[in-house]
Amino acid sequence: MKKKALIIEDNNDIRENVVEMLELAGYTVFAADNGKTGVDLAVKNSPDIIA
Amino acid sequence: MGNVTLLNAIIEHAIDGIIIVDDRGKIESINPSACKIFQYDEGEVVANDVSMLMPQPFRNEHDGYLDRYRQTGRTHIIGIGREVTGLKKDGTTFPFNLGVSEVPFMGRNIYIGFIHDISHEKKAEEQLKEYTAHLEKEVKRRTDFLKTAVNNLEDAKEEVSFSLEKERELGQLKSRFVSMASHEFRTPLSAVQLSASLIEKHAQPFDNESIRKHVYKIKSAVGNLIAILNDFLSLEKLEAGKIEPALVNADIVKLAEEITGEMQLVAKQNQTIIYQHTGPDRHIFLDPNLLKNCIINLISNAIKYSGENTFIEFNTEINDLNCIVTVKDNGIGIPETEQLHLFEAFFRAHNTGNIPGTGLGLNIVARYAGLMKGKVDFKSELNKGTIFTITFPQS
Repeated sequence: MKKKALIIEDNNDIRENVVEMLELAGYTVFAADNGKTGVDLAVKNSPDIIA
Repeated sequence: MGNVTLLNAIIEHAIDGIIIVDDRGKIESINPSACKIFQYDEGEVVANDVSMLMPQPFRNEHDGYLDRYRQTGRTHIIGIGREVTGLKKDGTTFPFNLGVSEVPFMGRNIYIGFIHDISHEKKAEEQLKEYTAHLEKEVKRRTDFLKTAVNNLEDAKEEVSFSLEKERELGQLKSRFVSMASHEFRTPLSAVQLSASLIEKHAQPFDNESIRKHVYKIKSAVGNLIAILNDFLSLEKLEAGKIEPALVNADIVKLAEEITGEMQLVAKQNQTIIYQHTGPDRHIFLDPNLLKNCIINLISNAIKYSGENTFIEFNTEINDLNCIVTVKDNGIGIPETEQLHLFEAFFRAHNTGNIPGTGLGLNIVARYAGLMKGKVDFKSELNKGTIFTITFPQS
Protein backbone atom coordinates (compact mmCIF):
# COMPACT_ATOMS: atom_id res chain seq x y z
CA MET A 1 0.00 0.00 0.00
CA LYS A 2 1.46 3.32 -1.12
CA LYS A 3 1.74 6.10 1.44
CA LYS A 4 -0.60 9.06 0.99
CA ALA A 5 0.48 12.72 0.84
CA LEU A 6 -1.60 15.87 0.79
CA ILE A 7 -0.18 19.13 -0.56
CA ILE A 8 -1.96 22.45 -0.02
CA GLU A 9 -0.46 25.32 -2.01
CA ASP A 10 -2.09 28.15 -3.90
CA ASN A 11 0.74 28.71 -6.39
CA ASN A 12 0.10 26.41 -9.35
CA ASP A 13 3.74 25.95 -10.39
CA ILE A 14 4.89 25.06 -6.94
CA ARG A 15 1.93 22.78 -6.24
CA GLU A 16 2.38 20.87 -9.51
CA ASN A 17 6.13 20.51 -8.93
CA VAL A 18 5.69 19.25 -5.39
CA VAL A 19 3.01 16.80 -6.56
CA GLU A 20 5.40 15.48 -9.20
CA MET A 21 8.25 15.14 -6.71
CA LEU A 22 6.11 13.29 -4.19
CA GLU A 23 4.80 10.97 -6.90
CA LEU A 24 8.36 10.25 -7.98
CA ALA A 25 9.12 9.49 -4.34
CA GLY A 26 6.33 6.91 -4.44
CA TYR A 27 3.44 8.68 -2.75
CA THR A 28 -0.20 8.78 -3.71
CA VAL A 29 -0.70 12.55 -3.81
CA PHE A 30 -3.76 14.69 -3.17
CA ALA A 31 -3.52 18.39 -3.93
CA ALA A 32 -5.56 21.39 -2.91
CA ASP A 33 -5.19 25.05 -3.89
CA ASN A 34 -6.96 26.35 -0.78
CA GLY A 35 -7.34 25.54 2.89
CA LYS A 36 -10.98 24.46 2.75
CA THR A 37 -10.43 21.90 -0.02
CA GLY A 38 -7.29 20.84 1.88
CA VAL A 39 -9.28 20.09 5.03
CA ASP A 40 -11.94 18.22 3.04
CA LEU A 41 -9.28 16.08 1.34
CA ALA A 42 -7.53 15.42 4.64
CA VAL A 43 -10.75 14.22 6.28
CA LYS A 44 -11.68 12.06 3.28
CA ASN A 45 -8.28 10.44 2.63
CA SER A 46 -6.45 10.61 5.98
CA PRO A 47 -3.01 11.19 4.38
CA ASP A 48 0.25 10.12 6.06
CA ILE A 49 1.87 13.48 5.39
CA ILE A 50 0.47 16.95 4.83
CA ALA A 51 2.46 19.84 3.40
CA MET B 1 25.43 146.35 58.73
CA GLY B 2 22.00 147.90 58.16
CA ASN B 3 19.07 145.73 57.16
CA VAL B 4 18.63 147.47 53.83
CA THR B 5 22.25 146.94 52.92
CA LEU B 6 21.99 143.27 53.85
CA LEU B 7 18.84 142.79 51.76
CA ASN B 8 20.44 144.54 48.81
CA ALA B 9 23.49 142.33 49.11
CA ILE B 10 21.31 139.20 49.22
CA ILE B 11 19.40 140.27 46.12
CA GLU B 12 22.62 141.34 44.40
CA HIS B 13 24.29 137.93 44.95
CA ALA B 14 21.28 135.60 44.72
CA ILE B 15 21.78 132.70 42.30
CA ASP B 16 18.15 132.94 41.16
CA GLY B 17 17.06 135.90 39.11
CA ILE B 18 14.84 138.45 40.84
CA ILE B 19 12.69 140.93 38.94
CA ILE B 20 10.37 143.48 40.49
CA VAL B 21 7.49 144.81 38.41
CA ASP B 22 4.66 147.20 39.18
CA ASP B 23 0.98 146.40 38.81
CA ARG B 24 1.11 147.47 35.14
CA GLY B 25 3.83 145.00 34.39
CA LYS B 26 6.63 147.55 34.14
CA ILE B 27 10.03 146.38 35.37
CA GLU B 28 11.20 148.41 38.32
CA SER B 29 14.42 146.56 39.06
CA ILE B 30 16.33 143.43 38.08
CA ASN B 31 19.21 141.70 39.86
CA PRO B 32 22.49 140.62 38.14
CA SER B 33 21.46 136.93 38.02
CA ALA B 34 18.27 137.77 36.12
CA CYS B 35 20.29 140.00 33.76
CA LYS B 36 22.68 137.15 33.13
CA ILE B 37 19.85 134.67 32.58
CA PHE B 38 18.08 136.93 30.04
CA GLN B 39 21.36 138.31 28.58
CA TYR B 40 20.30 141.97 29.08
CA ASP B 41 22.03 144.81 30.88
CA GLU B 42 20.04 146.30 33.70
CA GLY B 43 19.53 149.54 31.74
CA GLU B 44 18.01 147.70 28.79
CA VAL B 45 15.10 146.28 30.78
CA VAL B 46 14.26 148.62 33.66
CA ALA B 47 11.16 150.71 32.90
CA ASN B 48 10.21 148.32 30.06
CA ASP B 49 7.23 146.02 30.07
CA VAL B 50 8.08 142.66 31.59
CA SER B 51 6.46 140.97 28.59
CA MET B 52 9.66 141.72 26.66
CA LEU B 53 11.11 138.72 28.48
CA MET B 54 8.34 136.43 27.23
CA PRO B 55 8.09 134.63 23.91
CA GLN B 56 4.92 134.70 21.84
CA PRO B 57 2.04 134.09 22.40
CA PHE B 58 2.52 134.94 26.09
CA ARG B 59 3.96 138.35 25.29
CA ASN B 60 0.74 139.59 23.67
CA GLU B 61 -1.45 137.92 26.21
CA HIS B 62 0.38 139.23 29.28
CA ASP B 63 -1.62 142.50 29.48
CA GLY B 64 -4.77 140.38 29.35
CA TYR B 65 -3.53 138.31 32.30
CA LEU B 66 -2.95 141.45 34.32
CA ASP B 67 -6.37 142.90 33.48
CA ARG B 68 -8.07 139.65 34.40
CA TYR B 69 -6.25 139.55 37.71
CA ARG B 70 -7.18 143.12 38.54
CA GLN B 71 -10.84 142.46 37.74
CA THR B 72 -11.34 138.96 39.15
CA GLY B 73 -8.51 138.55 41.67
CA ARG B 74 -7.99 135.11 40.16
CA THR B 75 -4.39 134.21 39.66
CA HIS B 76 -2.61 131.53 37.77
CA ILE B 77 0.82 132.28 39.02
CA ILE B 78 0.97 134.73 41.89
CA GLY B 79 1.61 132.86 45.12
CA ILE B 80 1.69 129.57 43.24
CA GLY B 81 4.71 129.39 40.99
CA ARG B 82 4.90 127.43 37.79
CA GLU B 83 7.11 126.42 34.96
CA VAL B 84 7.18 128.97 32.15
CA THR B 85 9.23 129.87 29.12
CA GLY B 86 11.52 132.86 28.95
CA LEU B 87 12.89 134.81 25.97
CA LYS B 88 16.54 135.81 25.96
CA LYS B 89 17.95 138.78 24.18
CA ASP B 90 19.41 136.59 21.44
CA GLY B 91 15.88 135.32 20.68
CA THR B 92 16.36 131.87 22.19
CA THR B 93 13.86 130.57 24.72
CA PHE B 94 14.51 128.60 27.88
CA PRO B 95 12.43 126.99 30.63
CA PHE B 96 12.40 128.35 34.16
CA ASN B 97 10.44 128.07 37.35
CA LEU B 98 8.74 131.34 38.11
CA GLY B 99 7.51 132.23 41.56
CA VAL B 100 5.67 135.56 41.86
CA SER B 101 4.80 137.20 45.15
CA GLU B 102 2.53 140.17 45.50
CA VAL B 103 3.94 142.69 47.90
CA PRO B 104 2.06 145.74 49.24
CA PHE B 105 4.60 148.49 49.28
CA MET B 106 4.09 152.15 50.12
CA GLY B 107 0.40 152.19 49.25
CA ARG B 108 0.56 150.13 46.07
CA ASN B 109 1.27 146.55 45.05
CA ILE B 110 4.50 145.44 43.53
CA TYR B 111 5.27 142.00 42.19
CA ILE B 112 8.49 140.15 42.82
CA GLY B 113 9.37 137.39 40.43
CA PHE B 114 11.91 134.72 41.35
CA ILE B 115 13.45 133.14 38.30
CA HIS B 116 15.06 129.75 38.62
CA ASP B 117 16.58 128.60 35.35
CA ILE B 118 15.85 124.93 34.80
CA SER B 119 17.50 124.62 31.37
CA HIS B 120 19.97 122.11 32.75
CA GLU B 121 17.31 120.04 34.47
CA LYS B 122 15.19 120.25 31.35
CA LYS B 123 18.12 119.27 29.22
CA ALA B 124 18.89 116.35 31.50
CA GLU B 125 15.22 115.38 31.44
CA GLU B 126 15.20 115.63 27.64
CA GLN B 127 18.32 113.57 27.52
CA LEU B 128 16.75 111.01 29.81
CA LYS B 129 13.65 110.95 27.61
CA GLU B 130 15.80 110.63 24.55
CA TYR B 131 17.78 107.90 26.21
CA THR B 132 14.60 106.10 27.25
CA ALA B 133 13.21 106.46 23.75
CA HIS B 134 16.43 105.13 22.34
CA LEU B 135 16.33 102.23 24.77
CA GLU B 136 12.72 101.52 23.88
CA LYS B 137 13.63 101.63 20.22
CA GLU B 138 16.55 99.31 20.87
CA VAL B 139 14.34 96.93 22.89
CA LYS B 140 11.78 96.99 20.09
CA ARG B 141 14.46 96.38 17.50
CA ARG B 142 15.82 93.43 19.45
CA THR B 143 12.34 92.12 20.18
CA ASP B 144 11.56 92.28 16.47
CA PHE B 145 14.82 90.53 15.78
CA LEU B 146 13.95 87.82 18.31
CA LYS B 147 10.46 87.53 16.87
CA THR B 148 11.92 87.06 13.42
CA ALA B 149 14.37 84.51 14.79
CA VAL B 150 11.55 82.65 16.56
CA ASN B 151 9.46 82.74 13.40
CA ASN B 152 12.38 81.43 11.39
CA LEU B 153 12.90 78.68 13.94
CA GLU B 154 9.24 77.76 13.81
CA ASP B 155 9.34 77.68 10.04
CA ALA B 156 12.46 75.53 10.18
CA LYS B 157 10.82 73.25 12.72
CA GLU B 158 7.79 72.86 10.49
CA GLU B 159 10.03 72.15 7.55
CA VAL B 160 11.98 69.58 9.53
CA SER B 161 8.88 67.79 10.77
CA PHE B 162 7.53 67.86 7.23
CA SER B 163 10.78 66.34 5.98
CA LEU B 164 10.72 63.77 8.78
CA GLU B 165 7.16 62.85 7.92
CA LYS B 166 8.13 62.53 4.26
CA GLU B 167 11.14 60.42 5.20
CA ARG B 168 8.98 58.21 7.41
CA GLU B 169 6.51 57.74 4.57
CA LEU B 170 9.37 56.92 2.19
CA GLY B 171 10.77 54.47 4.74
CA GLN B 172 7.40 52.76 5.02
CA LEU B 173 7.06 52.67 1.24
CA LYS B 174 10.54 51.15 0.98
CA SER B 175 9.73 48.55 3.65
CA ARG B 176 6.48 47.61 1.94
CA PHE B 177 8.22 47.40 -1.41
CA VAL B 178 11.09 45.29 -0.13
CA SER B 179 8.87 42.84 1.70
CA MET B 180 6.40 42.66 -1.19
CA ALA B 181 9.18 42.19 -3.76
CA SER B 182 10.98 39.61 -1.64
CA HIS B 183 7.81 37.59 -1.14
CA GLU B 184 6.71 37.85 -4.74
CA PHE B 185 10.19 36.91 -6.00
CA ARG B 186 10.54 33.99 -3.68
CA THR B 187 7.49 32.09 -4.93
CA PRO B 188 8.56 31.87 -8.61
CA LEU B 189 12.14 31.20 -7.50
CA SER B 190 10.94 28.25 -5.43
CA ALA B 191 9.09 26.96 -8.48
CA VAL B 192 12.28 27.28 -10.56
CA GLN B 193 14.27 25.47 -7.91
CA LEU B 194 11.76 22.64 -7.69
CA SER B 195 11.66 22.37 -11.48
CA ALA B 196 15.45 22.19 -11.58
CA SER B 197 15.37 19.35 -9.07
CA LEU B 198 12.76 17.57 -11.18
CA ILE B 199 14.82 18.01 -14.36
CA GLU B 200 17.75 16.52 -12.47
CA LYS B 201 15.63 13.52 -11.52
CA HIS B 202 14.16 13.07 -15.02
CA ALA B 203 17.61 13.38 -16.59
CA GLN B 204 19.19 10.76 -14.38
CA PRO B 205 18.60 7.89 -16.84
CA PHE B 206 20.52 9.81 -19.55
CA ASP B 207 23.59 10.19 -17.35
CA ASN B 208 24.48 13.44 -19.14
CA GLU B 209 27.26 15.57 -17.62
CA SER B 210 26.10 18.81 -19.37
CA ILE B 211 22.57 18.49 -18.02
CA ARG B 212 23.96 17.88 -14.54
CA LYS B 213 26.27 20.89 -14.80
CA HIS B 214 23.55 23.28 -15.94
CA VAL B 215 20.99 22.03 -13.46
CA TYR B 216 23.60 22.60 -10.75
CA LYS B 217 24.19 26.15 -12.05
CA ILE B 218 20.44 26.90 -12.02
CA LYS B 219 20.06 25.51 -8.52
CA SER B 220 23.00 27.40 -7.07
CA ALA B 221 22.06 30.70 -8.77
CA VAL B 222 18.49 30.39 -7.53
CA GLY B 223 19.80 29.40 -4.10
CA ASN B 224 21.89 32.58 -3.98
CA LEU B 225 18.90 34.71 -4.94
CA ILE B 226 16.72 33.10 -2.30
CA ALA B 227 19.44 33.66 0.30
CA ILE B 228 19.63 37.36 -0.65
CA LEU B 229 15.86 37.73 -0.48
CA ASN B 230 15.85 36.00 2.90
CA ASP B 231 18.43 38.51 4.13
CA PHE B 232 16.28 41.40 2.86
CA LEU B 233 13.25 39.97 4.60
CA SER B 234 15.18 39.40 7.83
CA LEU B 235 16.43 42.98 7.76
CA GLU B 236 12.95 44.32 7.08
CA LYS B 237 11.53 42.33 9.98
CA LEU B 238 14.38 43.48 12.25
CA GLU B 239 13.81 47.12 11.23
CA ALA B 240 10.11 46.79 11.91
CA GLY B 241 10.85 45.20 15.30
CA LYS B 242 8.89 42.16 14.24
CA ILE B 243 11.49 39.63 15.39
CA GLU B 244 11.11 38.39 18.95
CA PRO B 245 13.51 35.69 20.07
CA ALA B 246 11.70 32.51 21.14
CA LEU B 247 13.99 31.33 23.94
CA VAL B 248 13.85 27.58 24.57
CA ASN B 249 16.06 24.91 26.10
CA ALA B 250 18.25 23.27 23.47
CA ASP B 251 21.34 21.12 23.02
CA ILE B 252 24.08 23.21 21.44
CA VAL B 253 26.16 20.22 20.35
CA LYS B 254 23.23 18.69 18.49
CA LEU B 255 22.46 21.98 16.83
CA ALA B 256 26.10 22.60 15.92
CA GLU B 257 26.58 19.13 14.45
CA GLU B 258 23.46 19.59 12.35
CA ILE B 259 24.79 22.90 11.04
CA THR B 260 28.24 21.43 10.41
CA GLY B 261 26.69 18.67 8.31
CA GLU B 262 24.59 21.12 6.28
CA MET B 263 27.44 23.53 5.70
CA GLN B 264 29.93 20.83 4.76
CA LEU B 265 27.64 20.13 1.78
CA VAL B 266 28.08 23.67 0.44
CA ALA B 267 31.79 23.99 1.28
CA LYS B 268 34.41 24.31 -1.45
CA GLN B 269 36.62 21.50 -2.69
CA ASN B 270 38.51 20.03 0.27
CA GLN B 271 37.29 22.68 2.65
CA THR B 272 36.77 20.94 5.95
CA ILE B 273 34.65 22.23 8.77
CA ILE B 274 35.97 20.98 12.11
CA TYR B 275 33.56 21.21 14.99
CA GLN B 276 34.51 20.93 18.64
CA HIS B 277 32.68 21.62 21.89
CA THR B 278 34.38 22.54 25.18
CA GLY B 279 32.87 22.11 28.62
CA PRO B 280 30.72 19.46 30.30
CA ASP B 281 27.51 21.44 29.80
CA ARG B 282 25.73 21.37 26.39
CA HIS B 283 22.51 23.04 27.40
CA ILE B 284 21.55 26.49 26.14
CA PHE B 285 18.54 28.70 26.65
CA LEU B 286 18.42 30.66 23.39
CA ASP B 287 16.39 30.89 20.18
CA PRO B 288 17.79 27.93 18.15
CA ASN B 289 16.54 29.38 14.85
CA LEU B 290 18.21 32.75 15.36
CA LEU B 291 21.39 31.08 16.66
CA LYS B 292 21.46 28.69 13.71
CA ASN B 293 21.01 31.63 11.35
CA CYS B 294 23.96 33.43 13.00
CA ILE B 295 26.25 30.42 12.82
CA ILE B 296 25.28 29.59 9.22
CA ASN B 297 26.04 33.19 8.28
CA LEU B 298 29.49 33.06 9.90
CA ILE B 299 30.35 29.67 8.42
CA SER B 300 29.19 30.63 4.91
CA ASN B 301 31.37 33.75 5.19
CA ALA B 302 34.29 31.51 6.21
CA ILE B 303 33.60 29.28 3.20
CA LYS B 304 33.20 32.26 0.84
CA TYR B 305 36.28 34.16 1.94
CA SER B 306 38.77 31.32 2.24
CA GLY B 307 40.21 29.09 -0.45
CA GLU B 308 40.02 25.40 -1.28
CA ASN B 309 41.98 22.89 0.83
CA THR B 310 41.50 24.83 4.06
CA PHE B 311 40.09 24.12 7.47
CA ILE B 312 37.26 26.05 9.03
CA GLU B 313 37.29 25.75 12.80
CA PHE B 314 33.89 25.89 14.43
CA ASN B 315 33.89 25.80 18.22
CA THR B 316 31.33 26.08 20.95
CA GLU B 317 32.09 26.46 24.63
CA ILE B 318 29.89 26.65 27.68
CA ASN B 319 31.43 27.78 30.96
CA ASP B 320 29.99 29.25 34.15
CA LEU B 321 29.72 32.73 32.67
CA ASN B 322 29.13 32.44 28.96
CA CYS B 323 28.15 30.44 25.96
CA ILE B 324 30.75 31.16 23.31
CA VAL B 325 30.55 30.37 19.60
CA THR B 326 33.64 30.87 17.42
CA VAL B 327 34.19 30.44 13.70
CA LYS B 328 37.75 30.72 12.41
CA ASP B 329 39.02 30.71 8.85
CA ASN B 330 42.32 31.18 7.03
CA GLY B 331 40.78 33.47 4.45
CA ILE B 332 41.46 36.89 2.94
CA GLY B 333 40.88 38.78 6.20
CA ILE B 334 39.35 42.22 6.75
CA PRO B 335 41.47 45.35 6.11
CA GLU B 336 42.06 47.14 9.42
CA THR B 337 40.77 50.49 8.14
CA GLU B 338 37.44 48.92 7.24
CA GLN B 339 36.89 46.86 10.37
CA LEU B 340 35.03 49.73 12.02
CA HIS B 341 32.21 49.55 9.46
CA LEU B 342 31.97 45.79 9.28
CA PHE B 343 28.60 45.49 10.97
CA GLU B 344 26.90 48.27 9.00
CA ALA B 345 24.13 47.16 6.65
CA PHE B 346 25.25 46.87 3.00
CA PHE B 347 28.91 47.45 3.93
CA ARG B 348 31.44 45.28 2.15
CA ALA B 349 35.20 45.48 2.50
CA HIS B 350 37.18 46.39 -0.60
CA ASN B 351 39.13 43.16 -0.77
CA THR B 352 35.93 41.14 -1.36
CA GLY B 353 36.41 41.73 -5.11
CA ASN B 354 33.88 39.75 -7.12
CA ILE B 355 32.90 37.41 -4.30
CA PRO B 356 29.10 37.78 -4.22
CA GLY B 357 27.35 39.23 -1.17
CA THR B 358 24.95 41.94 -0.06
CA GLY B 359 26.75 43.21 3.01
CA LEU B 360 23.75 42.29 5.13
CA GLY B 361 24.92 39.02 6.70
CA LEU B 362 27.03 40.38 9.58
CA ASN B 363 24.54 43.16 10.24
CA ILE B 364 21.86 40.52 10.71
CA VAL B 365 24.16 38.32 12.82
CA ALA B 366 24.95 41.22 15.16
CA ARG B 367 21.27 42.10 15.49
CA TYR B 368 20.08 38.54 16.02
CA ALA B 369 22.80 38.03 18.64
CA GLY B 370 21.81 41.34 20.21
CA LEU B 371 18.19 40.18 20.49
CA MET B 372 19.48 37.30 22.63
CA LYS B 373 21.79 39.63 24.64
CA GLY B 374 24.78 38.26 22.75
CA LYS B 375 27.76 40.21 21.47
CA VAL B 376 29.75 39.67 18.28
CA ASP B 377 33.52 40.29 18.22
CA PHE B 378 36.19 39.51 15.69
CA LYS B 379 39.91 39.53 15.11
CA SER B 380 41.23 39.65 11.62
CA GLU B 381 44.48 39.94 9.78
CA LEU B 382 44.69 40.65 6.08
CA ASN B 383 45.47 37.51 4.03
CA LYS B 384 45.86 35.48 7.22
CA GLY B 385 42.30 34.90 8.36
CA THR B 386 39.49 35.95 10.60
CA ILE B 387 37.98 34.67 13.83
CA PHE B 388 34.43 35.62 14.81
CA THR B 389 33.15 35.16 18.35
CA ILE B 390 29.58 35.39 19.60
CA THR B 391 29.33 35.55 23.38
CA PHE B 392 26.02 34.97 25.14
CA PRO B 393 25.96 35.57 28.90
CA GLN B 394 24.66 32.61 30.94
CA SER B 395 21.38 33.08 32.80
